[in-house]
Amino acid sequence: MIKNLLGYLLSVILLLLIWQGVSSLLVYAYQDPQDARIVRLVPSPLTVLAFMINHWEELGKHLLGTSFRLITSIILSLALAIPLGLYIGHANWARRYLTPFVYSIYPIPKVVFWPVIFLLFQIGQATEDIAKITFIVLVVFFQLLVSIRDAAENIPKEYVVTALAAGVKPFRIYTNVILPGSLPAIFSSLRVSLGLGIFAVYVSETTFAFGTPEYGGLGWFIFKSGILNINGDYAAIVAIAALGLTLYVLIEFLEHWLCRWKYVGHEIQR
Amino acid sequence: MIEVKDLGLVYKEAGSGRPNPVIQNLSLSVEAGESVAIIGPSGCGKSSLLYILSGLLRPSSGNARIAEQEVTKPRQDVALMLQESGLLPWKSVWDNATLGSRKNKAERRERLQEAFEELGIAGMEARYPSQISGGEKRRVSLARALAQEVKVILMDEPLAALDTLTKEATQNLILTLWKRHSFTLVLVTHDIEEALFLGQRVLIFAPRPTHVVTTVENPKMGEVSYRQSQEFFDRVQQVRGLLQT
Ligand SMILES: Nc1ncnc2c1ncn2[C@@H]1O[C@H](COP(=O)(O)OP(=O)(O)OP(=O)(O)O)[C@@H](O)[C@H]1O
Ligand SMILES: [Mg+2]
Repeated sequence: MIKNLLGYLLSVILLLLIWQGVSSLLVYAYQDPQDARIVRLVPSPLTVLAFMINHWEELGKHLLGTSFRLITSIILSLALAIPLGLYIGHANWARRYLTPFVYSIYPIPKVVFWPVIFLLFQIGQATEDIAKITFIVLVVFFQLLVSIRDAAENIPKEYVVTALAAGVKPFRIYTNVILPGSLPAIFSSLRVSLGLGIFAVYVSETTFAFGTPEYGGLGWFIFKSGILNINGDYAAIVAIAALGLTLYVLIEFLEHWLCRWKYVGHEIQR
Repeated sequence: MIEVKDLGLVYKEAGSGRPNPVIQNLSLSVEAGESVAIIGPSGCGKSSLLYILSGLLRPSSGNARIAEQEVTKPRQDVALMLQESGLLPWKSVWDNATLGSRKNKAERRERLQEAFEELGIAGMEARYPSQISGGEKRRVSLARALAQEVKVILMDEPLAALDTLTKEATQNLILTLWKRHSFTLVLVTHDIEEALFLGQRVLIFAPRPTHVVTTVENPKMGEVSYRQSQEFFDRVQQVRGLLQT
C-alpha cells in the first residue's frame, strides 16, 4: 500500500514535469510578442500555483461545493445500486425479468437529461443541488447497477450451494456470499463511476438559475472563467484532479481493507 | 438412515422449455453408519441426487427421507462436500468451518478446536483458503462436518482435483474418520478405485434418466492391505466392465 502511494506521488511529479515542459516549449517556440496569447494557453504550473494561493478562499469554496455533490451522489448511487444489483443478479425471477429492463435503460445517454432535470427542479436555490445530485446519480447509478448485477450473477454456483447446504438461511446468502463475492467487481466499477461522476458534476455545475453561487463548484468556476482567465481554468482543473486522485486513493485503501482475502498469499511473478 | 423412494427429477430445458427427465423411479436406501459409493456416467444425475438429499433441490416426484424425515430443506446434521470451491475465499478458515452452524458459540468453538486438532490443521484458523493447500482445504471441510457432529456426509467428487499422493492420503483420512465417528457416508466419484476403497457398497448408475442401480457388494472394504490385494483389482475390473455396458 505504501508502495502504491509512492507510485501516485511519482506519477503526479511526472505529470507536473511534463506540464512544465510543454509550457516552456511554447515559450521557446513563440518568442514573437504577437504570439503571447498562444503562450498563455499553457501557463507554467508555478503560475497556476500562484493563482491558487491568491484565490484559495474562492477556489476552496468551489472545491467544497463540487466535493459535496460528487461524494453525496456516489454514496447515494452505491446505496441504491448495491442492494438492487445484487438482488437482480442473484434472485432467479429478477435475473430473468428485470435484467432486460436494466440492459435496455443502460445505453440511453443520461447526460442529455440534464436540461430536463434542471428545469424540473427550478423552484428555488435549495433545489438546485438536489437537481444536480439527481442528475449525477442518474449518470453513475446505471453504470454501477449493470456491473454489480453482472458480478452477482457470475458468482460460482458452488459457493451458494456450499453456504446453503451448510445451513446459511437464503436471505443471509447475500451477506455471506453474494456481497463479499461481488466486492472486487463493485470496487472496479466504482473507479469507473468516479470518472463518470466527475464528468457529470462538471456538466451540472455549468448551469445555475440563481445568480452567482459562492459554492457553485469548480465546474462553475471554469465555466465562468472561460477563455478570459486561463490561469483560473487550470487552477480549477488541478483542484478537480486532486479531488479525483484523493477519492481514488481512498477507494483503493478501502478495497485493500475490505477485500484483504484477495491480497494475501503468494505475490506471483507476472 | 437414507431412504430414496421412486424419486424423479425433471429439469425444464432452458431454451425450449421441454421437460428433461434426469432421474426416474430411483429407489435406494443407506443404513445408518454405512458407506456407499456411487459411480456412473457423466450427466446421469449424481450431483442432482446429492442436491436433493441436501435439501437444495425439490424432486419432481417421489421423495427422499433422512432419519425418517422427508428432506425439504438443508439439515444441520447433513454435510455436503463439493469438488472445488467448498470454501468461501473471503472467509477465514475458521469462519468457513463455522459457516451456517447453529450450535452455540462456546460449544462450536470447542468442537471445532478438537476437529482441527484431529485433522492436523490446528494453527491455520486465521488463514484464508488461498493460503492453504488443496489437501488442507478438504480437511477444513471435514472438520466442519465433524464439529457439526453430522450424521450424514454427502461427497460430490471431493478429491477429483487432488494429486495422486494427496488424494490417497485424504482417502485414508476419510476412511479413518468414518470408522472412528461412524457417520453415514455417500460418496459420488468417477474414480473406481476410490469407490472400492471407501464404499461398502458401490452403486452403479445407468445413464440418464437414472433408474436401475447395479449394486456391487464390497465387504472387504476397510481391511488393511485390501487395496493391494488381487481381490481388489478383480473388483476394479468388474466395476469397469459394468460401467461400460
Ligand atoms: N439447472 C439445470 N437445468 C437443466 N438441466 C440441468 C440443470 N442442472 C443439471 N442439468 C442436467 O441434468 C443432468 C444431470 O446433471 P448432474 O450434474 O446431476 O450430473 P452428474 O451425474 O453429477 O454429472 P457429472 O458426473 O459430470 O458431475 C445433466 O444432463 C445436466 O445437463
Ligand atoms: Mg456431478
